[in-house]
Amino acid sequence: MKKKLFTAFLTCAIVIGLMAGCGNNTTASDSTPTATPAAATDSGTDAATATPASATDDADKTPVTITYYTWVQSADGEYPQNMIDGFEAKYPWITVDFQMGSNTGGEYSETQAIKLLAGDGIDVTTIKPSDYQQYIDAGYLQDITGESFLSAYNAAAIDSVTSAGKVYGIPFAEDVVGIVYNKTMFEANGWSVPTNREEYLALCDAIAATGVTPTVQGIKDTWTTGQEGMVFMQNLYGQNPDIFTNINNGTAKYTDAVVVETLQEMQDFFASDAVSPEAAGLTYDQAASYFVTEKAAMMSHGEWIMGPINLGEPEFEVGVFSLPTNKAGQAHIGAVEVGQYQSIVASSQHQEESKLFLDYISSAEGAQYFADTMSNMTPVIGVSNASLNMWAELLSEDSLPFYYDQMYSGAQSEFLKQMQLLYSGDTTADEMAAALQAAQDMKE
Amino acid sequence: MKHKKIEPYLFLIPAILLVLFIYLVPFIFSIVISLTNWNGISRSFNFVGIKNYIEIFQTKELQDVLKNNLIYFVEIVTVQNILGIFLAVLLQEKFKGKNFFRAVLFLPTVICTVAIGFIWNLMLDPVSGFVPGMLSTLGLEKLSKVLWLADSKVAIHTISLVNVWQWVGQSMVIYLAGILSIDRSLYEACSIDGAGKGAKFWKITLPLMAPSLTINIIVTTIGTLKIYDLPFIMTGGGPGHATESLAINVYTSAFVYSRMGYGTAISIALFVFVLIVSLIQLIIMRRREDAVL
Amino acid sequence: MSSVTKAIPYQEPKEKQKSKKDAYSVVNYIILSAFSLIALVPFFILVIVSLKTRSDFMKHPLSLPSTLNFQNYVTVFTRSSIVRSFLNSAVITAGSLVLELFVGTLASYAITKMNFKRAGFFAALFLIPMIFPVQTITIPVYVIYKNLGLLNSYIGMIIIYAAIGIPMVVFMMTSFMKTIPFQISESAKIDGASHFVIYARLIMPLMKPVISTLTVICGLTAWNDFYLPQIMLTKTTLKTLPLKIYDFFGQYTSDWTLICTCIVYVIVPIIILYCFLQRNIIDGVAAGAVKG
Repeated sequence: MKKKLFTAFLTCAIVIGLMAGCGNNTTASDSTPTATPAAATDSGTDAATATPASATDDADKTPVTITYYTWVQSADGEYPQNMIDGFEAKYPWITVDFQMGSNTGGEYSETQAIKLLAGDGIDVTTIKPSDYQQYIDAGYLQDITGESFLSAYNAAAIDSVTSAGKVYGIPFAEDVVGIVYNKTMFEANGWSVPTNREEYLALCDAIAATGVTPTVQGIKDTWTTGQEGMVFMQNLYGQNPDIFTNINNGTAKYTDAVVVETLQEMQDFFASDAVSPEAAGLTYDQAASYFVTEKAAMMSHGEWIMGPINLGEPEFEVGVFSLPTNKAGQAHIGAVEVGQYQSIVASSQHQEESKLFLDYISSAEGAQYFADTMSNMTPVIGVSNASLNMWAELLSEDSLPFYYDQMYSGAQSEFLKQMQLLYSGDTTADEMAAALQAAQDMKE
Repeated sequence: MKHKKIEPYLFLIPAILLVLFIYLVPFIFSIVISLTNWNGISRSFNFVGIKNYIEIFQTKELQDVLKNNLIYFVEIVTVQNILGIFLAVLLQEKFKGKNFFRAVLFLPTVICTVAIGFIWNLMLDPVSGFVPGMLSTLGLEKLSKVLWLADSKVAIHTISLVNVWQWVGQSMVIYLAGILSIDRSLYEACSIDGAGKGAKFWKITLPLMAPSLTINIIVTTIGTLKIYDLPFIMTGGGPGHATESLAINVYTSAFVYSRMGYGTAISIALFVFVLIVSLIQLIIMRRREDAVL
Repeated sequence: MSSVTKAIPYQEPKEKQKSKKDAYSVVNYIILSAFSLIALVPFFILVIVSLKTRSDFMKHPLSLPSTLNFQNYVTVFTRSSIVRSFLNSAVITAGSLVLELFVGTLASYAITKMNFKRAGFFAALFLIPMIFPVQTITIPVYVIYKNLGLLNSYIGMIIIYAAIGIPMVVFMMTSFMKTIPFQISESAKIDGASHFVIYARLIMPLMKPVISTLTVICGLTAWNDFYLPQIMLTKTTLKTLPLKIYDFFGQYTSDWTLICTCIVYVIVPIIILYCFLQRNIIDGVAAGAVKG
């Protein structure tokens, strides 16, 4: 009886497996440039609807499939599908096989590294800035210095993707950090936007006195703790532009006085009434809810926070002002950086088509999809998202890239974790500095 | 006669081949990599001998993380198994609703860990969470203010509890399978001798449950020493390193610090440690099984 | 001491125990209900969130939904091609179960019933893969599979999960098979039965509860796993159900209502499997040969 059941199971599994296996074999594998019947018919119909002049040219081109590996998508899946559809309409003989990686716990880097290592057939892929240099060193990224589409970007953005004079990826998303605030509440209480650190701290006291939490930051997810430290650490970076370079090459340490001083400022800030003790237990989404339900007046975050905030349908006007990093008398420095890069894999068999894809992403048309659907800003000159206009004003300031992205990845990870402890008062500035230096020393 | 000698191996070979196919190369690969300084990304690396292993024993941070693992081990193995046995004993009889309870108590095991992390984050959320809200209505104000996942002294115990919640169903099911394999007439004979429920449990059920006890103890031991998914999803190992397990540290060392060689060495060291513990447990418990059965 | 006898349903001497039983049962019910509540509440939350609209969830995460929004179930059904993903998961899980149960029980039989010298060694040997962390096998297996063309294939995933599951099968099976007295297989052998026949007709039927248990436990591992499919299965048509959950995580915002809906889709089949198998675990029957 058992045997019969087993045999039945086995036969079913084999039959289904074979059927599915047969189904898989008819589609072309990713890395071969040869045509497949399915792709040919698609390009045929598309070409027919394209402008008559190019119909004959495009129909002659061998259909090509490029693989695009990324984690960047909107929650409803609209982006990047809309951008890809636009690209395929413009270049009918190219099909984009879009593969989504997940990055909920940061694991995208890991899966991407395995694929690049094993020489998987990826052609274009999104790169996190922290992984960029390592991939360049390992020879995985294609040199695209001098390509025409690079002119679509502003100089600062091109700077960030340049390594030793060469460019290996296009700047993709532009992120700027500011203080999001409840404009309606401010006006009702007569609070004004602070222009420096002292005014900011005084403002926090004033807000706390009314029983509202001045600023909330969900720091249960480690990545948000970096945002909490923006006001202080970005100033450390701004006043000492070489600090992280020096720490990374060993000529400075996290335990140096100038760093510890800033850590102490943060410790004092967290111990004051300016922050909510509950926030230690709030996730990113929960913190946005906290702000939308007016339990807190401010949040230190990048323009990406507008997504969750708008979802909560706030019943007040949301505003943003630039980070009050500078102490009175110091020059102000903001935080702007390119959040992701798009690169062509060096071993890709479809260099030309991949370049066309990057060219499209860099075009006004392609970049507009990104700006509109992702509530992100793009470094492509001339493209913007109207709803993010108040953030665009922050772009024009003097700014440096985010301080934590200048750290060695191990030290950055340790920093974000130590921030959680500093926030709850479970560590001190000195202990934190020591832990940071210990992590730095693990760098090989 | 020759045929007879080979026969056992014929039965064994499919299993061995299948396991070796997937595990042999990774096993060798890991040992080799642990002797290098590979960063996990580039296609080149250098051999550094046992430098990584020496570093493991000198790193204070790893000792702190090991302490976490031991906390997980002690708390989860004891609570989950005691509770599992208790529930299995309650559910062995035929009574109305037995199937319903068996299904419901197994439900948490079925839910994937991502969902569990999300649900418990919602439940324990200090602002609008179910648990703080309920504690508040019960008048336990102080308890309702506890930051279950964000307080570095409390978080690890919270995760242990959630882990028990998630997997007690599996332990229960294995214990049930064990209890249901016990010959019913033994209980009858005992009844005739005038034994009560308690004596029946300690003299018959528990001893004859030895196989499921062995399985559960070893499986939960291995599970807690290797624990990764739940702490990673619920707190990422934080706050700070308060809930970090050795397996999480392996991941961080290998991928975040880009020290794949070092990370793999930690992984091998952990593997050896768990292997030794499990083998000792296996030997002890098998001896017990043989004595009892 | 232990012997396996024909099924005699256990019967309490009726009158003496009835009143005692009632009181005892009430306490039992209370305890079980309490635990069941704790087990169920989170599941309720999943369903509640799946029935909310996104903005409702952002504003009041845990309240009961103002209106029952079944739209999420439709959205997820179409967007995640639930039928296709379900089929993928089902084939892979079923295939790996069949493989590991068959191969694993054969090996367990050999270890426990076929007297040979190194039995103990092999029992311990199968423990090793159970301890080996899954993450460590990823890179090498990925490269091997790439070279053998086993990426993006059912059979590739089936082999991996079977290899992962065999240690558990062997471990559990050897523990339980040992409780079957040696006389049973001996007497069959004397009657001239081959080992395979003893295995199939005698021993395996006795192991029904264990097999059902293993089916659920190992099936769960294969069904819920997203880590391996994430790397090994990149073709959209091959993606398994748990992977679809991650499609709803946007870069900076995630639609938790859709995520919960997808999770419900992932959970329900296993619950059905478990309920089905539960009914087939025949109580108290370790049926088999005659005593003595």
